[in-house]
Amino acid sequence: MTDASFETTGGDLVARFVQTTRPFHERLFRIALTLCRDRDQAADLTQEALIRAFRAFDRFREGEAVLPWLARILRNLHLDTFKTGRARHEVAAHQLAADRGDPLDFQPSRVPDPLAALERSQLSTWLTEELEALDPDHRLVVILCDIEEFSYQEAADVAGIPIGTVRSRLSRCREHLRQRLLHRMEGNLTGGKVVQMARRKGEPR
Amino acid sequence: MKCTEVQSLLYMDPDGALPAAVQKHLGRCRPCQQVERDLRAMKGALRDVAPPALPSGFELDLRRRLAQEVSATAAAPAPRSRSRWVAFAMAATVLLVLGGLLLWRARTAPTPDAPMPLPQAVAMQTVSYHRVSLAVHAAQAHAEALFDVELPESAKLAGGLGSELGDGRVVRWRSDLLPGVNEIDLPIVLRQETPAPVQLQARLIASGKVYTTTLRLTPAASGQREAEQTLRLAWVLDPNAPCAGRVQ
Repeated sequence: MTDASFETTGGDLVARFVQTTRPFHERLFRIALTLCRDRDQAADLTQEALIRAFRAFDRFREGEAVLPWLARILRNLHLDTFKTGRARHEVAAHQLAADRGDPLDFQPSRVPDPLAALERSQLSTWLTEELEALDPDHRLVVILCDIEEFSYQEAADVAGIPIGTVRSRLSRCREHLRQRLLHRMEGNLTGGKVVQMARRKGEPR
Repeated sequence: MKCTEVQSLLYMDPDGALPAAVQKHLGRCRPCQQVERDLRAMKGALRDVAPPALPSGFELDLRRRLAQEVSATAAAPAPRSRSRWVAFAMAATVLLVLGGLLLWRARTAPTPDAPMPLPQAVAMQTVSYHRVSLAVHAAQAHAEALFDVELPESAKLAGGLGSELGDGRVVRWRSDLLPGVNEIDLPIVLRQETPAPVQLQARLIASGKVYTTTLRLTPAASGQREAEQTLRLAWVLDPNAPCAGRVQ
């Protein structure tokens, strides 16, 4: 039996907070890694964001989406802490823009529904690598919208960009990722020739 | 509609409701159908992309910091500036009322020479607050080690509790242990009012072995109204050691 005189507020709050947020710690860390790129810095940012979230936990409404709430705190903390060190990968972004609409980049496949025919786990492995090759600003919108299934507005809040920019970045990323996967698929079918060609062109691996 | 327009819409919002003109185009255009199917397969696979693992010790550090947050909140003094003024105003009011009453009584009392009753001396009660910290030197990692702290009869909890409570007066806390020294501040504060020292029993269960230790809660020195101290429970875990704790 529990002693009725025990004051359970603090411990209960920790237990409830951990229970609520634990399933999202790794996923929050993934967002942090995209924001600050350095693993140690991302871990510090994630932990600090969780501490801030704990301080504000009494204002968290039951039924509210947990990860978007944590991600907003993470984003604000990142802006406060690291905004001076923000470096943009413009070169990679240009590379992505150049991919768009280049008719030579896309060769129709000989296999009907090539991506659907692939093992889903193989597709996920390739996508993990291709996501790493994206510039962080574009990777962030893919992670938020297509992996974490944030709404465009939630993603815009976390990324700190207009909702229209979220949509256009997503659109370009999906097209780019699909073409990269088709290249890989072709490379698989032809002994890696297309992938090797892509490497010679200096595409990120 | 042109293929570029249809595909642009598909890339923009693959899950969105497609206008009738797009659906009509899709019904007869194989390259656009392929884009639609590829995007669907890609989206399914993206959801399987696993997040990176957290650095080792992340969860332990987080629990430790959360415990510190709770302890800090439990021990934080009430906001001062306002309460001080309120207390000062109340004291001033009481003094004024008492003064007025005494003056009135002095003027109206039938026996003005009768001695005023002296206030009785109030015995000063000493209260000790004890924070509890654990230091465990582990030779290897232990998942979900359990700490039990059995509270003496005279001690009560003043702060928050651990993640779960055992039966009776046992506070239980669960934590992963890493190789090396693990420092854990429990989010509890013990309140001790008795003037005599009391014993506190603690137990650690790690990887099936039980380690026990006893600690003495020393009350605050006489003359002090309140005192705060930290109890440090220490264990050295060695897989070759017998099932007994060692107090450092």
